[in-house]
Amino acid sequence: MTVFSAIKTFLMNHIVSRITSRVVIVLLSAVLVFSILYHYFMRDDAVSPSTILGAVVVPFQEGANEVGSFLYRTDTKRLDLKAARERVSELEKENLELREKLDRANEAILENEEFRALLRAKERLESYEMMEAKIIANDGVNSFVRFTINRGTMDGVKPDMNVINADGLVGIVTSVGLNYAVVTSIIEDHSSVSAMTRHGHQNCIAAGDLSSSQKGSMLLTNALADFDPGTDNALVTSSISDKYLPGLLIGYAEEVRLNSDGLTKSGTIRTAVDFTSLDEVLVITTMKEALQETEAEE
Amino acid sequence: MTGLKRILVTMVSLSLMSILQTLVLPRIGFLIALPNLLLIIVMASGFLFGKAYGLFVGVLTGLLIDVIGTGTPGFHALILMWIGYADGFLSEKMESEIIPVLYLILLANEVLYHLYQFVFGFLIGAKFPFLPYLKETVIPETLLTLVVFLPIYGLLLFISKRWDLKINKGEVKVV
Repeated sequence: MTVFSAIKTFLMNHIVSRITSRVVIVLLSAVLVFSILYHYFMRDDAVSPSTILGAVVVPFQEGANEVGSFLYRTDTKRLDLKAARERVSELEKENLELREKLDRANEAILENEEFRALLRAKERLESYEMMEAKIIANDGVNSFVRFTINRGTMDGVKPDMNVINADGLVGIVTSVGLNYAVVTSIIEDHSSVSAMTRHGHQNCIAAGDLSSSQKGSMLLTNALADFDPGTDNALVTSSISDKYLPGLLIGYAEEVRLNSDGLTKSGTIRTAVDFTSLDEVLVITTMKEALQETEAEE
Repeated sequence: MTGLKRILVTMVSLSLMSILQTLVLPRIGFLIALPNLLLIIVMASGFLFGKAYGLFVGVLTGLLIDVIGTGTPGFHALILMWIGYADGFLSEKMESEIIPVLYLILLANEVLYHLYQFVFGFLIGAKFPFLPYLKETVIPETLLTLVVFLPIYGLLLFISKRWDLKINKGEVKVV
């Protein structure tokens, strides 16, 4: 302790007391003159206060600049995104409109094809007079077993008129209203149509069946033991039918087998018409009775 | 306490005058030159608080000018340090303060300051053609400084006397 206090006393007496304004100004002058001369002679690469200030400030400025440009970029991106989103919603709307148009066009094409098919059928069966009709109601669940068309007595529809479509025989008009008619299709339970093979004229009965009707098929019954559909297994309405006009395509005979009695054959008929999707049908206004009468007259 | 108060007074006045000198006065369009307010502060602090304070304020002010302006640390600090020191020295020697004498000392300060700048200006890369410099800068600046000297010095004198900071307790005489 004594050593420290001795040093302290020595410093106070001999050093601090001698630090007067005069000493300070001389020392400071020397420092400042050195600084001036140093900066004068080393002007180009001298470390000036501006340099030091710059070294401190510039990173901050750069940081601020970075932040600024980041914000600017973000804002630009946001604006771009906004514009892009607007464009997307615009395009989606346009897309929707176009799709709707395309749907309508496709519908028109399908309708057109359907009409063409009908037209071909009409040409094939041009000896018969027929009118187009549209199905407006259906009693069945899956298949068109009994359905309503938009033609009635006003259009000249009568009961027992045959109904076909582009593929073949559909059914027969069973009851008629003023502007509608009910058609019972050939696949209905208990309905039976006299059929024959298209070329061999071998007769059989095409009978509707409840269980088969949902699958769109019919039973083939009452065929003689020598019934053989052969390669062309198409069945058409027979000439001996009293209600159906001859030569209308019913379907194709399949799985024909000899019955256990050994005298008759039976099987199933895959109908030509797809009874699950009917839309347009043709009503043949020529009737079997009238046909028979005209033939009789001749 | 006296020392702290003196430092406070000089710092506040120095800051105010720097702001006035660099930000306010240049905006006043009709002034052809600016009064040297910082020189007034240096002289006032030397005169009121003694040569140590004059020295200290002079160095500080000079360094401020160097950093803001020329970029050579020490050029202005050197001359203002000496001016502050000399003023404090004179103040300590004087029995009483007579305003015209103060004006003369201020004039001497101004002349010294500009002479130093003129002679040693080459050290900071400045060139002062003598006559235009004299006509356009030195004379208007000196006159304006002389005009604004009395209010500033009076205010500082008032504060110093109020807080009993003044080193020279003699009378302040107008004549």
